[in-house]
Amino acid sequence: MHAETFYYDNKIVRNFTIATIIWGVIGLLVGIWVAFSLVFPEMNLTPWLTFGRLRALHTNGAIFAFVGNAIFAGVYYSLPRLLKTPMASKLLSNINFWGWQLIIVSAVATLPFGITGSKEYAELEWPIDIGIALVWVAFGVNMFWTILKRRERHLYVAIWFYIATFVTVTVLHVVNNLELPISAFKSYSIFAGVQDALVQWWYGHNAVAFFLTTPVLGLMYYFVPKAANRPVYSYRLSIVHFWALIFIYIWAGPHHLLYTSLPDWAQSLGTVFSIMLIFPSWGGMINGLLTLRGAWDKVRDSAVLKFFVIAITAYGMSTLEGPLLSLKNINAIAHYTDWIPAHVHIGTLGWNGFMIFGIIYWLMPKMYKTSLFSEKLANAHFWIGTTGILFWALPMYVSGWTQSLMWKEFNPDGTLVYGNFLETVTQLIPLYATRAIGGSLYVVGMLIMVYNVIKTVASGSFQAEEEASAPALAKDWKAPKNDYWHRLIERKPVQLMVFATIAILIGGIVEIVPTIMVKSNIPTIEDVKPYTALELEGRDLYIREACNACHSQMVRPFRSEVARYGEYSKAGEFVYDHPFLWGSKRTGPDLHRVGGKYPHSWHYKHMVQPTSMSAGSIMPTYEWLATNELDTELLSKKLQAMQTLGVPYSDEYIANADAHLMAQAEEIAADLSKDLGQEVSPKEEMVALIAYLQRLGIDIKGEHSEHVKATTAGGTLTAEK
Amino acid sequence: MKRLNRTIIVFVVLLMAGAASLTTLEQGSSLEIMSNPTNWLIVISAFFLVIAFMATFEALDAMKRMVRGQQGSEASEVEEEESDWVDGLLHKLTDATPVENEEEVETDHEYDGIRELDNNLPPWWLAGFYISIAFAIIYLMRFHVLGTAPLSQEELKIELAEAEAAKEEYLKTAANLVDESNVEALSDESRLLAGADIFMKNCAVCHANDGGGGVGPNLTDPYWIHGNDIKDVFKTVKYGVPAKGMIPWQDQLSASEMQEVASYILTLQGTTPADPKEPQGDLVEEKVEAPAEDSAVDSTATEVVEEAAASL
Repeated sequence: MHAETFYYDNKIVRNFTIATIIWGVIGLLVGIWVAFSLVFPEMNLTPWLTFGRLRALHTNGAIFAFVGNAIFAGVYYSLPRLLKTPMASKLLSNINFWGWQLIIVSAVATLPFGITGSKEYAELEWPIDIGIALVWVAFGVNMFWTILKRRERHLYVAIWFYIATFVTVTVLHVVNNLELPISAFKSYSIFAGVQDALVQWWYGHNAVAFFLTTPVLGLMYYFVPKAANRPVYSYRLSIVHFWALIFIYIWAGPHHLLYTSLPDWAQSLGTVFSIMLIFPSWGGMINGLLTLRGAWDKVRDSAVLKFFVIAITAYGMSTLEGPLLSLKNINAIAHYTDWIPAHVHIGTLGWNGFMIFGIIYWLMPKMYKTSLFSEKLANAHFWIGTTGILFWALPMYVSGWTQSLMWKEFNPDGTLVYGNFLETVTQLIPLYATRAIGGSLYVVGMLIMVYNVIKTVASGSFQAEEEASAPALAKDWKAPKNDYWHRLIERKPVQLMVFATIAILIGGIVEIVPTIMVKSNIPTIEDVKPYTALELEGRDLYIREACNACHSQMVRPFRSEVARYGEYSKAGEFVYDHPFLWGSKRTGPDLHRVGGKYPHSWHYKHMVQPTSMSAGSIMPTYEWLATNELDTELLSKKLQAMQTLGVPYSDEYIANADAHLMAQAEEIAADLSKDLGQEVSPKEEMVALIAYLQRLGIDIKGEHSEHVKATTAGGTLTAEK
Repeated sequence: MKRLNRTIIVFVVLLMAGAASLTTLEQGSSLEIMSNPTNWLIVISAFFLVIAFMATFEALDAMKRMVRGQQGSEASEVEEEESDWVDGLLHKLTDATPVENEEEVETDHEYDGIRELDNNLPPWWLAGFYISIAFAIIYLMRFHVLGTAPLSQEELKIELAEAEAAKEEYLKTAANLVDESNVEALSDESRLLAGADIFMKNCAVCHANDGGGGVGPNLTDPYWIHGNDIKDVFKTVKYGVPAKGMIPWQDQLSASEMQEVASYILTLQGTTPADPKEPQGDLVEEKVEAPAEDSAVDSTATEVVEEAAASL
């Protein structure tokens, strides 16, 4: 057997690493901006700088730009070396790189301008979704092609995780983004209400699982033993925790929907699979930390290993906390509060961020054939970053507990102690300030890293092609007699992928298919009618302004919520909601029962200047809604799309949609003009948004205006007066 | 010796955490302790605290061992013996092959220089996994097969029933029994001041600080949409007029608070707001009262408004 010589492509790894650093800094700066804008609402300067719109940019930036590029960098470095062959196609590598950057740029070019599908971490509109799918498949093909050309018979555990990542993210992305396009920048989810919520959180939870966890575990299995120069602790543990993790993770999505209108059986599955997830997750933590056995003395000196230790510890903490949050009694406290962002940021800042920093500090000097410019600065980064995480998370834990207790506190006579929601918000502002400072510290640490990396690069010489050699796989190889059973799968990548696919499909199918197919899961409510043309346009404005970033539309069946908001939300109320808008955080109050609660003029004044109606409010001003003219160009297309999706608009209604819209708008505008003592044009966007808000949650009362009755009725226009 | 100390400290911390959670307990059985989520939080925090303590001690120990290692090994035999049972327990829980003997469990795998050991699955880990599976089965049985645990809607019914019972119990003893059938206008200045405070916090956004109206109607003029009797005003505050955007306040204000604010609203009659809204509703004739008394009420009202404004 003679050794063949080949060259690893370091250029693609370097490109992805630089992209990681640049997008990481940008994505987190956006995070700091939105964090401070909760303390200083004046920072919501322009429509594209408002909290709701920028929040989506921050989450997408952190997940797909920062962690995404880092995953690619790590995979493009480790995969060829673990398989002893270069990446199969440089063209595909480059398509992957430039395609991914293009997607990020298009996110920057759309999200701040209100072009959004509104589903969390899947906000990007349909043309970009297609782009993501293509680039992702290019990555997958390149990976598999490389695997097939390998000179290493067995696949190392890191590669199992890469394969599971590729397969699952493909499935999640495609299913959750099934939407009906209206125009190049607008689409409606094909799922509605409860079903859309379930699909979304099956996706959202597993974006965490298969984008922020499994690929990063793969990186851990490569970079931790490499950096520590220690053997992996337990091969058997790798096997058990890999299969258990990917099989169980996919079931846990419904824990984002506890106490909502999701059927109880699905909620319970979410809870129990979350609990069963603790130990498979901890298997990864144990294998990572115990790999450092016998290397603890190195940890004292090496910044890289310090980053890894904190990262893996943060992983262990958040994978215990997550399941605990899935217990109903804890979820009842935590959901919709700042406890959830605290939990999430332990994961992203601690686990993802620190793994990535460790990898960058290890990788860059290696590729530049030099040593790190300053170990001291790397250590400074470590300590500042750790302090930053603590300053971020601890105040948010306190904030979450404080607000939740305030929401739920009753006077002995049965009234709410803090009946005014705003009192529970103003209480938190000092904590929001501390959090923003914590985030800033974290970014300061990153800037130190940028300097350190630049200096390192300057002192080294980049090795674009790294020579290596290995013999080709022997054709007549036979497995040893006492071969461990799992070794068989490790040398059959296609089978491994098939098994992984089966493992990740089961949970999703068991939960989603019955929720869509079995009628009894969403009990029909006779009185629930489609939105009028004006309300539908208003709803699209609600989506454009990302109101759901801060306001939920889901009154949970608790005494404290029924007293504050009204009747709890029923599954049947959301059947025409494409997409669902339940929200996941209450920075402001729930809006599901806001319809009819305040006069139109209250909403008008509140939207133009929130503090005029609620002194101390931190909501952005939306004065442009009063000056923008409502664009109804797509109205009939929108109604037709809804009709295609099963919303029972009558053909007559769609044909006369513009007149119907105008009739309702004029009514509201007249009322506003009278109350406000100023002329309000029926064409203002504000009128549509108010129409939508006033419709929320009122159908179950069984009284419908003429406008609503017209949506499903045949015949000609009768509403005009 | 050190390990023994550490174990003792951990127990002390646990005891302290236990004591802390006991202090939050005012009544009820030990089972009720766990039904209160706050106590859950305390237990979880204590758990993390203990882990943090142990990790800290472990790190300190490791450093000491390192220092000793550098100075030449002086570990005393006695210490080794005392910690034997702890080590034994630890070994039972982890089943880890010591680093010194790791070649015993080394596999022949090697990927880009990465070697793999094949330590046994840690028994504590495996036991935990089995327990979590048992938890899942029991959980599903209780909620969906045996029906011994309440699903969310039933939980709400129980919660509301308990709250209703507690409220009735409270109202029996409380002097808080005002409702629209027996409410009377207050004249006590301190309670009117309290009413003014409630008005500023809750009503002023729609009715203006001086009652002159805005989104909501003017409260200072003699025109009333829903009546000017204290009972009418109380009722409007309590149940609201949802069709016209007036919020029901009964879940947010107590009965006596609603009495206070309704009484205060009546004192606004005849005052002159800065920017009055046009009259709405019907003109209601003022009750005939002695002019002297009238001006007294007026001045009280003005004072109250001023004081309230000053206090805000």
